[in-house]
Formats: sequence, C-alpha cells, structure tokens
Amino acid sequence: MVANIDSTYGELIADVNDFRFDRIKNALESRGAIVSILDRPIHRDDEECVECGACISVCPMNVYGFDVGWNVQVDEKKCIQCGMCIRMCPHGALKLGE
Amino acid sequence: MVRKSIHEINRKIEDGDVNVVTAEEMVGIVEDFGVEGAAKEVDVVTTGTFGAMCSSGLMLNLGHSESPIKIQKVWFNNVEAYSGIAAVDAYLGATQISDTRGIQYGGAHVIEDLLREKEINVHATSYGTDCYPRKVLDTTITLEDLNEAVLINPRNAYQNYAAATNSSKRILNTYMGELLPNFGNVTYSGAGVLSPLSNDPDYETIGIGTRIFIGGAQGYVIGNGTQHSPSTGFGTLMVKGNLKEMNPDYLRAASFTGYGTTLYMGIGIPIPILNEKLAAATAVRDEDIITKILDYAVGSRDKPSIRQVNYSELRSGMVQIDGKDVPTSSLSSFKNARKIASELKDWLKCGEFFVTMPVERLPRKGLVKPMKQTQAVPLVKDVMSDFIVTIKKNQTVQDAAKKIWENSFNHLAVISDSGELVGILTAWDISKAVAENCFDSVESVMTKKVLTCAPNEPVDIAARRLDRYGVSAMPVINTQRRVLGIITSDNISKLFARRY
Repeated sequence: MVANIDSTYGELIADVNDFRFDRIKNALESRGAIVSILDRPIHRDDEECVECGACISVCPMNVYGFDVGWNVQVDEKKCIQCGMCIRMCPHGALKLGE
Repeated sequence: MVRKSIHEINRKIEDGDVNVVTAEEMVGIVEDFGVEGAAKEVDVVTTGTFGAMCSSGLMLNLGHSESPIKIQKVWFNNVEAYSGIAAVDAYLGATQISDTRGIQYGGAHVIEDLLREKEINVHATSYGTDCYPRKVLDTTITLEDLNEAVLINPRNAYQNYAAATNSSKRILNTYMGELLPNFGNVTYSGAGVLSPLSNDPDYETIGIGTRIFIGGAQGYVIGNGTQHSPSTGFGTLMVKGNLKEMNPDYLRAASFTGYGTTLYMGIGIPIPILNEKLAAATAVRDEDIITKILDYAVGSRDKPSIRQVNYSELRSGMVQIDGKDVPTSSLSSFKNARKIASELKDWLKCGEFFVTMPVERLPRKGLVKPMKQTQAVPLVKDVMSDFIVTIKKNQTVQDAAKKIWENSFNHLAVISDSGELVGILTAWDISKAVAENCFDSVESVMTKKVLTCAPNEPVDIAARRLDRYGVSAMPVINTQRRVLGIITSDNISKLFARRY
C-alpha cells in the first residue's frame, strides 16, 4: 500500500483481494472517498525495447527487473500507472494500456 | 613468452579454426589458465557495446538535380542538416531536433527511418549561381536513392563514463535519463566488462584502420574521437560505416524526455591476442572498471563527485549513497552488448571478418580541454535589481496591495520577523484573494514554495529556472535566506538583448 495524505487531500493505492474488493469499496465510498480500479497496466512494445533497463530505477513499485540473461522483465500487475517509466524510456517502448 | 602475428590469426580465420571468445568469457579463461595459457589458446577476444552515442551523424550525397542546385540549407523530414560542403553533400547530426515535431523526432530518427527504407522528404534552398541556378528543391528519397550514406561518428564508444545522480528536490531531465530528487536513483552507461576501449586501454590494437562491427555492418575506426582524454582513461573513437549495410537491430534512434534525441549505436571491436599483455588487458572485469557518480543538481560543467563506484556495483542494481540504498539503471543495453560480442565472434569463426592492426595508433597521452570563453559569465548579482519591496508575513492583504501600488512593483518578498524569506506575493495573488473575498494576513495568501537563486549563480542557471517553472521573478537570497535583490525575466532579456 502506498499513501500520500495531508490536511486537505489524500491518495492511497492498495492491493486488495478480489473477493474483498466490493466490501472495501463500499466502506470507503460511504465515507466520501472516490474509488477507482487501476486496470490500465503498463504495456511494453517488445520491438522498440532494447533491454537497456533505464525503467528499472524510476519505478516506485519494482515492476521492472533483469532476469539472468539481462532481459528486462515486466510485472504488469504491480503497476500503479504513475507514468514515470514512460518518460524514462529512451525508445518510447512503454505505454499505459487502453 | 607468447608472440603471435596478425597474419597467423587471419590465416586461422580463413581456415575456420580460429579460437574466439567474448571479453566476458576471457575473464574466466585467464582465471583458469593464467595470462600465458590464455594468450596461447585464445586468438581473438570480442567486445561490444550498445548505448546512446550523441556524437553521431550521417554523411550523405543526394546526387545532382536537374536543374542543378548548390544546397545552402537543407531539411530531412523537417530536421535541419548541414550542407555547407559542396553542392549536394550533407551531414545530418543525430541530436538535431525537428523544426516541427519537438524533441521526439530528430536526426537520429531520420537516420533510423532511412535505414528502415522509409521515404524521407527533402527540402533545400539556395541563393542560386550561374552554374547552380536552382533556388528551391523538394523531393522524396529513400536510402537506395542516395549515392553515399556513410555514418561518420565523431565521438563513440567512450572508454569510461561517469554515472549520474540528483541531490536537488526536483526531477531533472538529462541525457542520463530522468534523475529523481534526493538521490532517488543513479543512472550509468557503458558495457563494463564488454566495453571495447576498456579491454585495450593502451590502444595497442584499436587505432586508425581497425576493422569493427558497427550497426551490424563492417566499418572502421578512423581516429580518436573528439574530446579524447587518454590521460584520464576517457578515450573515445571516431568511427565510420556504410549505413546501406547496417541493420536496425543495432542502430536505434532514441529520445530523452526534456533533453533531446540521440542515436543508440551497436559497436563491437575484436582484439587480436598477440601477447600476454593483451590477454591480461582483455580479462578486465566489471569490478575493475571504476567511475564516479556525479551530482547533476549542479548545473555547471564541473559537477561534484558524490563517490567512486565500480561497474559491478552499478550492475548489481543498487549502490549506497550516505548509507542509503539507491537503485541504479543502465541506459545502455548489456543484453545487446553481449549480442554484438557474440555476433562478431560468429563472423570471425565463419571466416566472414578479418582482423587488422591499426595503421596509426591513437594518442595514449592527452587531456580534453574546456572551451575557451572570452566573455565573462554574468552572474545573478550582476543583473539583479537591488530595489526590493518586502512585507512581513503577518501584515494584511490590504497592506500588500498598497505596497504593490505605491512602489509600482509587482513582486513582494514576504519575510519573517527575523528577516528571512518565507514567501512571495504578487498582484495575481491579491486578485485571487479579492475574488475569494479573503482579506486575512499575507501569510494565508502568499506562495510559500518560492523559487530563489543565489547571487553568485551564473545568469544562465537562473534563466533556466525561471523558464522551467514558468515564474516571472525570483528573489535572490544569501545562505541565511536574507533577500538581497530580485531577478526577473526583464533583467535577463535586457542582458541578452545587449549581447545580440
């Protein structure tokens, strides 16, 4: 879970179990929060990607990493759509899914 | 004592029984067999690198038009190239950005598009002569329409390169990628163990005339690169290769957000193992290659070094800065560097590539010089206004409005009781307060996050800050946050108006 809360505004990103989602959603919305599902994970164009790894150090959720062959692995499920990697990628290989 | 000749090795290549390994494999071989054993067994060590090489460009010839034109200015897909050489020769640099598409498209992209056989629009203008009467030309060409299309890259394959980090509070967009604030990340570039010049640091076999793998074709080293600085271990290469023989797997245009375009070049250099010294040199490992992490928060040419680090630490994915774990990112592709070293190994084994000795060695001594500047760098204190209007934070919005009106000065520096800058207030903020019917203290309507500058900062840095954050003025403060003056875009534009 990642949160940023101050006196006037707050944002929270959490990974919740599918079957508990509805209860949590109702609980938060009944208290005035707006709940949205982050279902547009990052998408990598394998043709454009040169496996440099520039994306690795800027992702706050560790979506990216190298495997033993120095290929960049992408774990889309961890993506919180912050967009940092999109700006970092020198080859424009990353886009948020539609 | 091992003494091989280049001819022996080329004969073995021809016969198909040459013994080639990559620079990564060589590390293990020298560990197992010793330097002498490795020198006897191994004939050639291949190296490779695939990274951003900004100092790259295409030398091309369009052929003459009917009626003939002596091109003065030329654009390829709205990216300007240089044509001040003869009539239809042009040089297209990788980092030249498009006139129309911003920094997402530049010379590097045109070069990659050409390589991918795409059509390129050419627009050329000239002043016209008797022998070259034509003044405007528009045409569309592809790579095969050109007479020559040769990559002549003035500075490629750095022997070493500094890593980058950012101590400031804001994200920086640089040619080393996005640098996160407060030492949020470290970026680096270089193939380490596979890096060509790092494997031949005395430039014994890499020199003028050395045949190399470049962009998937066979090309040559044509000299030391610009800014060659061998005395500090920062050697560079000037290389050439025929674009028509290259492969887009090894030549890719790139764009760094907020910085511009560059060309990722794949370069591989074979090192013939003629003696023990070369065997030892090619056994260099990531942990032997040491560089510094520079702080890009400082906008000057000489950036402070945060610490030294080796390539093994960088490649581990994490380095320590002030006891904190900082994630690292490579900007160059190690996977592709391996692919290149491996492909070059295959070419040698299949008798498709022969090694050469340089016809002239690269300089082993020398230091890169900074630019000579004959005009003094103006500092903020030279151009700032020292007429400043201040207001205390507990004064009212009405007091502020009065001060702005009486002094005809739009920016009020808000100070605390002890005289330190705590905020800034402009006529804009007053308008907003009036619109919201809020007439409380200055403190409640002022902007607290004030952009400031120091009196001894170069004007260029202050101008960049004003530009980047879209503010119209910045208070100039000393280390105790006392306001010494204010600098506005007016002060700066007057300065530049005088210059030009």
